Amino acid sequence: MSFPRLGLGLGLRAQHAREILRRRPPLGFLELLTENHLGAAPARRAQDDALAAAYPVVLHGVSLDVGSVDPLDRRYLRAVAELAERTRARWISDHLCWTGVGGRKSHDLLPLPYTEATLRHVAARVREAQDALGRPLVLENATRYVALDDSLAETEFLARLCDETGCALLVDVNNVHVNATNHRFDAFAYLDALPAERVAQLHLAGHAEVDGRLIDSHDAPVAATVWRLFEHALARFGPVPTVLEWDASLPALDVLLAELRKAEPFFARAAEPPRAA
Amino acid sequence: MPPEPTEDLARFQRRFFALVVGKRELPPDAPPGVEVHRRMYRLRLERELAREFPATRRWLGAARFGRVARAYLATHVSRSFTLAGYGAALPRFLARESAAAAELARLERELALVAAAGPGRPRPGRLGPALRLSPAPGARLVAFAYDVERAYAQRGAPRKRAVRLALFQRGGAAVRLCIGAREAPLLAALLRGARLDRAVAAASRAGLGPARIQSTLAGWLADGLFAPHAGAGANGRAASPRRGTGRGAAADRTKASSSARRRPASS
Repeated sequence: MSFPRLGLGLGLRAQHAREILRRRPPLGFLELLTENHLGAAPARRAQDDALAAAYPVVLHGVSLDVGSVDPLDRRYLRAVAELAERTRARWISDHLCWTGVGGRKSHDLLPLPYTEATLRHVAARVREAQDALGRPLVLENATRYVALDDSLAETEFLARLCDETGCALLVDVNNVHVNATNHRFDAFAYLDALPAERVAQLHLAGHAEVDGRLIDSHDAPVAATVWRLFEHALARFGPVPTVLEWDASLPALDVLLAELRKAEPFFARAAEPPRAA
Repeated sequence: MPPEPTEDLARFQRRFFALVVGKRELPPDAPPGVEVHRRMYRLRLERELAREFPATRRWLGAARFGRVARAYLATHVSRSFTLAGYGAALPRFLARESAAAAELARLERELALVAAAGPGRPRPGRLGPALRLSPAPGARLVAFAYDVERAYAQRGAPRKRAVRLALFQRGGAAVRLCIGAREAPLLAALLRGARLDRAVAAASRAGLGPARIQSTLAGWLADGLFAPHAGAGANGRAASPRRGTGRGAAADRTKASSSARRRPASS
């Protein structure tokens, strides 16, 4: 499956939906938070339909639970497939993580130990989810606040997962920076180690520092260091579709649009054909 | 069929999850960083409860509501892939703290259910005495032991006084309508799907006069509580008297419905 180059997009938040429909700002696409639109009330469904008619849509979920030892939730997968069909979603993404066990949910993205056994477990579930959804998944690198007993580097884990399942990657550049700072590794080397041909999408977001640790808070503008990483990512992966995420302390739509516009020059440079030597 | 997960991974997840959602202090051997997940877990669920119950939170105050929310999430672990509806059991849980707040929370929960309701199936039938009116999506009649409308509309603390509200969806939002004690049997019968003539007979037995029945029905139709019949003709006109002919409870309805229009509640 090829992933269309949709340009720069916005992570849709309910507070901005009406304004977006009214003003129709120039956006390459919208990223809908999957769980907020599943089984939605008629008014929300009508709004989703209008948004999907106005912009290309992609789905971004947090509840696939691809790393959990619980069985995959077939009811959830059916609902996601139905939503994807209704909104003509270009692709469906979620996170490389687990969120619950024993039928109980934390609604947080919890870390996986990167081992051969975990890779076998996750690969089997990615294949199962892809079969149910009828399309390849796009998986995001999550933030990790805990150091676990890994036998594989995250980049190797992701690359092998893509090879074994045909899934693609959503690289959250802010998460790379947060993890690199908290766990002291080279963020640029991390990006260089990812399989470029598998990267379908990028995320940009802001973070916060709490008690000497960076937190993926989605409540601030994109940091200067993350813009530099973004530029490096685009140089390596090409102008892959990029979404700005902002959740807490959500500002006015114009603030988000202005923040997203900062990505345009980086994007334009990445889209230029290489110069002849 | 995917292979069985390794016991190591299962053990790791059970222990890690217990650390994240547990009530007790973190043990000394907890991995550094797990407190971030613990904090985010609590913050996310507390925010969800505040989102689902804004009026209850406003009335209790942020600090008191926060204490209730923390106590609730310590005993209620989510089992759904969605956070929506996480606070379904909060009204009952709140009863230990404040009966009035519990009633207000129950109103908010009912409004959320109304807002999420799908379109109802129109009730077929010809105009005339045997007609069954088709209610608006999510329409329901709910009785409260406290005057929750007063608190919800920010007119003061909920007093101990039995009130009945019709809750229904209009224009995609959940709206509220005060229902007088004598009109309640008529509405309950219509919402149950009773024939119009039988619902009217029940209302007459409850002491409602013909003029009042007529004006009440007209008001409910005008407010969108019931859908006008597709084939409304001569009989439909006959069932639509001028507004404002009712008094008493009918006046309550008019006042409350205009209030509901100004402040449509949505989830």
